[in-house]
Amino acid sequence: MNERLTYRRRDRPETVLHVLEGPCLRVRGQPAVLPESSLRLLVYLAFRRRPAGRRVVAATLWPEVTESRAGGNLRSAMWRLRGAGAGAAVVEANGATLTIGEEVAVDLDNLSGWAERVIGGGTGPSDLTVPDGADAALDLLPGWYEDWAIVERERVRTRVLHALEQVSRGLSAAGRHAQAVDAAIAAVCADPLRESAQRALIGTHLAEGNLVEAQRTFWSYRELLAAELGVDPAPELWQLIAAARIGHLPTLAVR
Amino acid sequence: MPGPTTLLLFGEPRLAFGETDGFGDRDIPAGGKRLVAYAALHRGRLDRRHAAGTLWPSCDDVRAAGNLRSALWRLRAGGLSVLEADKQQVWLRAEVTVDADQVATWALRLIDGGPASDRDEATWHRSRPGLLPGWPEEWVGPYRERLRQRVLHAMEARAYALLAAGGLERALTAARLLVAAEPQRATAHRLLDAIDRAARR
Repeated sequence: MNERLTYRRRDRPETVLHVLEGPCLRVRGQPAVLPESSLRLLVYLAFRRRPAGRRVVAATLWPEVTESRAGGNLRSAMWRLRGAGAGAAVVEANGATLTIGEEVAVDLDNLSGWAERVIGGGTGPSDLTVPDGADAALDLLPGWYEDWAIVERERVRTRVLHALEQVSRGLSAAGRHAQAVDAAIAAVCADPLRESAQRALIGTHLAEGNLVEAQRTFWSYRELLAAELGVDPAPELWQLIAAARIGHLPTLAVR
Repeated sequence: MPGPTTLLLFGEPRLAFGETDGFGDRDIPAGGKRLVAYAALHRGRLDRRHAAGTLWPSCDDVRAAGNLRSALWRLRAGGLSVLEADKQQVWLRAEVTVDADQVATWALRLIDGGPASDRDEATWHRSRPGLLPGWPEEWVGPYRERLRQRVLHAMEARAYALLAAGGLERALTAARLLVAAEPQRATAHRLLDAIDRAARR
């Protein structure tokens, strides 16, 4: 997270580009009426985070038309954005390059900031939570199939999944088991085949002492893996369950 | 349609109108149920192409898009305006409340240390069938389990809160509901033990 984005966040921005729900551009809370081409341009520039040459932008957003036609489309997308923000321009043109306007906040930035801090291990108590929008960030702009959108979707998704797994461990360690389970299940919802997510979930059940929930998670994961990929869970996962079983037998015997 | 509209998802999806439970419930036409449920679980707006691909995975794009159009049409023909759609997106109307969301919010409040209320048990019973029970859809299972865990943790949190406040009887009632529902859940038994110990003190 660079300084500029952090600064934007604190500033109670008037112009916000929503990519987690929508996509849409809101100015002082009101959605701006924009053609899809203009929204795509904004989102592309927001994802890119650094100046992009006009010709690159045009060719990326309109790969199937001639260069001059793409240039025309870009000009018209920019034209429709004139006056869309609250005062300052939402797209800044600097010679042959374009950037997203300084004043435009992107709703994804808060969440990315959280994910970076969590993954970096520098979490304070306030980061030990699943922020709003995490679910939406796991499937960013699901209907956009362009390469640049797919790359960003995967990047954000991987970061957020990592962060959720990490946070679930942190929450377990802090004794906040309900939140820990919830964070891990959010990761499992997004990618049921992902072993680290399932391991995190099993870990949260075990941390709480819920052996049967852990076993059930394990067995349904095993079934899923067999059905989808025809493979078995990794040995570490078996060991996790086996070790827990032995560890818990005396406790169960007492009951 | 008069009064608030609630989408009920702890069973086959239905709509309830007005404040009173069971007053003016309406079934959702079979062809529209899955789309409504999918839109309700995925808050925000759905991309039509993506939703159609998920809901009708064995059809090609054109066929799936056609199925989605016909689902929307069936809902409208049945006089149920729960979904709105434009060329690219489908979304649940803002006025429609989803009972699963209400239960999730209730659970999170208790988990975060919110006070117990007399209506907690009614909410618990309402959620017991589970989210869209019996639906084998891949996009339902994880949501169902997530909500189930939230509700269980909420009831545990509630019972501990009652116990701490000296409400032994009410804590015991909650613990018994939990153990009856999930006889193999260790934390539920631990709760029962804690209440036992407190009672003997």
